Amino acid sequence: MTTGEKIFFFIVLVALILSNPPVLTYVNNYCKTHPLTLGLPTFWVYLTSVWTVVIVAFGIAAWKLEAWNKEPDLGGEK
Amino acid sequence: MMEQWVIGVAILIIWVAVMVVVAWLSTRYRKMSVTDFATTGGTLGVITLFLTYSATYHSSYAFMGTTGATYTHGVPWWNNIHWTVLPGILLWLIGRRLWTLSKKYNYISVGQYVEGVYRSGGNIAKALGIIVSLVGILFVIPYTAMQALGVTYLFQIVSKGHISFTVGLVIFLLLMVFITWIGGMRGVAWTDTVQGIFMFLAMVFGAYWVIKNAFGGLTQVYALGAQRIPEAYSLPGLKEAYTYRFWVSQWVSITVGMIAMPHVFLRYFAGKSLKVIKWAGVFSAAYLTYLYIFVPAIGIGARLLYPNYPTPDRLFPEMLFQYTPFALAAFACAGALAAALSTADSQLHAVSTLFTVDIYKTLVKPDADEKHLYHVDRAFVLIFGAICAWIAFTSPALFLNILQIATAGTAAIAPVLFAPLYWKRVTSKAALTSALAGVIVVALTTFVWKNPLGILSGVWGLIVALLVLVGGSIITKPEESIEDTVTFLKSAF
Repeated sequence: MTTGEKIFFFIVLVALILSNPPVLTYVNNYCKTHPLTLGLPTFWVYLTSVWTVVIVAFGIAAWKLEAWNKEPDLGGEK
Repeated sequence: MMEQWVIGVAILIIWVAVMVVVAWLSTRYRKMSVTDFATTGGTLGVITLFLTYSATYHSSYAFMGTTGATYTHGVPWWNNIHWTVLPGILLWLIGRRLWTLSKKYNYISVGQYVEGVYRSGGNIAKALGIIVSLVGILFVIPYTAMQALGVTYLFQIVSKGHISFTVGLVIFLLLMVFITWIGGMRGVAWTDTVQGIFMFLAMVFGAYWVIKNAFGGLTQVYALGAQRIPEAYSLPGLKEAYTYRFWVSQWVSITVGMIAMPHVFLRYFAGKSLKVIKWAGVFSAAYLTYLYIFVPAIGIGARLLYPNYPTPDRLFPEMLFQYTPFALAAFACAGALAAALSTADSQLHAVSTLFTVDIYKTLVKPDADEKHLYHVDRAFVLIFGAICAWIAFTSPALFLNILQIATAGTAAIAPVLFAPLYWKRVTSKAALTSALAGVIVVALTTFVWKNPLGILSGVWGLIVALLVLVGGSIITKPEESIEDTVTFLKSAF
């Protein structure tokens, strides 16, 4: 696994941690006292921001990672 | 002056006509072979694969069920974001491995892939392929019926009751069967491409228009909601259903179950190249997520306007007709038709293909050629279309509930499908036991001992299936075909 792939998987892992308990418990408590951020639901803004980072990282990885440009050798058994 | 309901129905009919023409045009490239009917022989480009994957993935639940779910539970519904981003990523990470195997061994169905990858197990591998196919078929058919129900509501709403439940259902089913029957995967993918664009525009612009006209804007509806229903803005939501256990088990069950569903699975085989799979994955993740950008506002707004609405899944179309010009509302409802149809025809196509390739060819006519199987596949499209019609007449539940039951079943077989792509030690005996154990546990925790400890049945099925697969594989003898597969994939990536 290349460094670029490791960084991408780390970003996905962090997103999963941030959008699930126990981290989500703290975020949810904050949302109870501050339901809105910039006029939008804090809970929605938080989750959308976290996963937008993942989508952007996925796009960058698809564009830049050499390891993801490799076409497999399909020779041999058919 | 022409009555409004006539204009609405006319718009829907025009949309249907466009779908028929697109499906018919796809037949110009048709080959009389089951491979072409099942996967187009792996010829789809980025735009077509991305939009057929996305449009297939999102169904009538996207257009109608999401508003119902947000109305019922509030913003916690946005747990949904897990199963909008991850499928795109998994299309690339898992899909590229499946695509590579399909190119090497000419796999065109789920059971065929399972039988091939576990081939060292002999008859056990054959049985496993059949079981996996049957599980997929059994859990997908109710989900297909769900699409029919979604569209039938629309015909009733648009026609102001002039089109009955039965007539609406028949129109939808005929269209679903026609597109699948005439075009196979290519017909479905081409119509999905048009429908995918249309449903995105209809959903995003329709929702924004409703919010603007009903409340003046996004911030206004959210501010009003925060005053009147503050519990909608955090877990556990309005009905206190979104506990942390439910939260985790819902996204795990639906994400894993969805990517193992036959109609999604067949798309792993349909791309022209790995580059196509990769970019289809990236675009799908973005499309599936931002399609829902205004859904929370619609759900909150609906709760404020109609606090005791008996059928929340009907709210979005109702609001469209109340707060936007009639023609625009009818046009947006055609987007809902697109959402439902794009999933339903893909599911019907997948079910008939699985039955033809994995059941009919394996058990009835092993020496059948490509042309014979092509005709059999088309015949099963008609048969399963009729079965879906029968199921659709049963009492409809909330869309989300049907989605959860369907994905629970396929989540239980996911370990059997995906483990041989990564782990050399998996064995056919363990896989067969795992599939059976997982499905039995899903059935028990769905119908007998419902969601024990507040954890959804799909996760129970997945946990048991995983444990049995790992434990069983360790105590049974390694198999050459799995070792070869993992070694090959490791060298390929």
